[in-house]
Amino acid sequence: MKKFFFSLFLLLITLAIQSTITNYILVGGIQLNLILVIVISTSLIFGEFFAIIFGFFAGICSDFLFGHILGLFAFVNMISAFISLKVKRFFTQEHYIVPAIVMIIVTEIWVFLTYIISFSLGGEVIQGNLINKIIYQPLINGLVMLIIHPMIKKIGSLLK
Amino acid sequence: MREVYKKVMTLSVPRRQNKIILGILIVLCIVLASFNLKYQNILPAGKSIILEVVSPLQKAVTFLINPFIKSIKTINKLSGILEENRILTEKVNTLLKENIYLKELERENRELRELLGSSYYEKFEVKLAKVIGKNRTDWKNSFFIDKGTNHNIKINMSVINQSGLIGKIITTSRNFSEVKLITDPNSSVAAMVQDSRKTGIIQGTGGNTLKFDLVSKEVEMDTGDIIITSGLGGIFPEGIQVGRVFDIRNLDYELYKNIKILPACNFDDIEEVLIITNFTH
Repeated sequence: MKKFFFSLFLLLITLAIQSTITNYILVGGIQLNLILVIVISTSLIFGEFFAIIFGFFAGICSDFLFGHILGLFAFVNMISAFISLKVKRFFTQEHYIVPAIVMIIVTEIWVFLTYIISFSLGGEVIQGNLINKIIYQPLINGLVMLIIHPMIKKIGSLLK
Repeated sequence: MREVYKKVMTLSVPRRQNKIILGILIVLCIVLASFNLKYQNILPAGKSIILEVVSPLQKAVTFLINPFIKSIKTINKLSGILEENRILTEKVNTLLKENIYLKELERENRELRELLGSSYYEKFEVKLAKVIGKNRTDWKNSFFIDKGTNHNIKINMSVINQSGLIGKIITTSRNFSEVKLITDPNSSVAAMVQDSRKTGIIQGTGGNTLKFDLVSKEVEMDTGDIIITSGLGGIFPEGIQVGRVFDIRNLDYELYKNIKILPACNFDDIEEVLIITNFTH
């Protein structure tokens, strides 16, 4: 129950921050995707079932607030969260940099999936932005993951 | 049943079941996307519910970060402030002379207006709203504002500021609304060149510029020309400044001129907007 309320609170705060503060955190014109960072971070801590459910709900909320196709972010966030745990299995050692590396790999997959689906559903792809997104998005997300993940892990251990 | 409830609430079920849940949710995503493509009003309906929950938090976060953002912007501006001061002093001198002339014109204008009745703009009632959130991606450019249906805000109302046109209301909830910016890739505004009155359509590009489309290659235009709303289409009132022409190309393979517009508003710095509440075509 504690985990449920914590996730709900975290999601609401993240949605509010995503539409306010992150507008000012731009690298190469690319905005931090805090929702994805939170989804992946919590998935790595709470496991597969949580990853699927939280990824889906965070995605649905993103679809409503920021999206143009209902279900797009829900699908992509859920798949990314699920994949993040598979990627993590490649790392045998627990090291503070591992979540950031997982984040970088998963963000590349996220960008690829989002653009492929959006493009196939008639969305326009701005080439310059796509290249910037492929380069900078994983870097910003990875960097923020380094800061945020230990904090969420600490709260998570208190909830377990 | 109790066991299932316990498992769900503790968010831990066997791994085999996870794949089934994943499959079900993937199907659900596809169903939702299909419904959304067929029934376009699903997204705005859900959005107004989410807005009611998230917007108070957005408002609080904006309130907390605004002083920091303002300070950072001020520090950034400090570097060029001496040069800006010299330019501004020159401008003040020029403007003082112009002011005397304009005061005379204003008096004359007032007298003429009294003779003709009220001016065009005085017909509009505007409502001030604060920007509490922004959503600027490749696919969507929008703002969230702190006024909704409780403040008589309705869908399709025009949103402006002192510089010019910002966009229109696309979603409303009781206390919050979403404004689709003119830079949104799906935004279209009927517009015209202020001097020549030649009409066209302003389209968003998703970036910081706009495209002035459907303008014949024979039409004479120059960079720096001011583009205003034409009033056609009935959503935006006529005469609101949209931007300035900064690039014109006549490409052989295109039917119309390729015109790029720099918006009159700087969308990065907007904190407050005005909503025209009583415009009807």
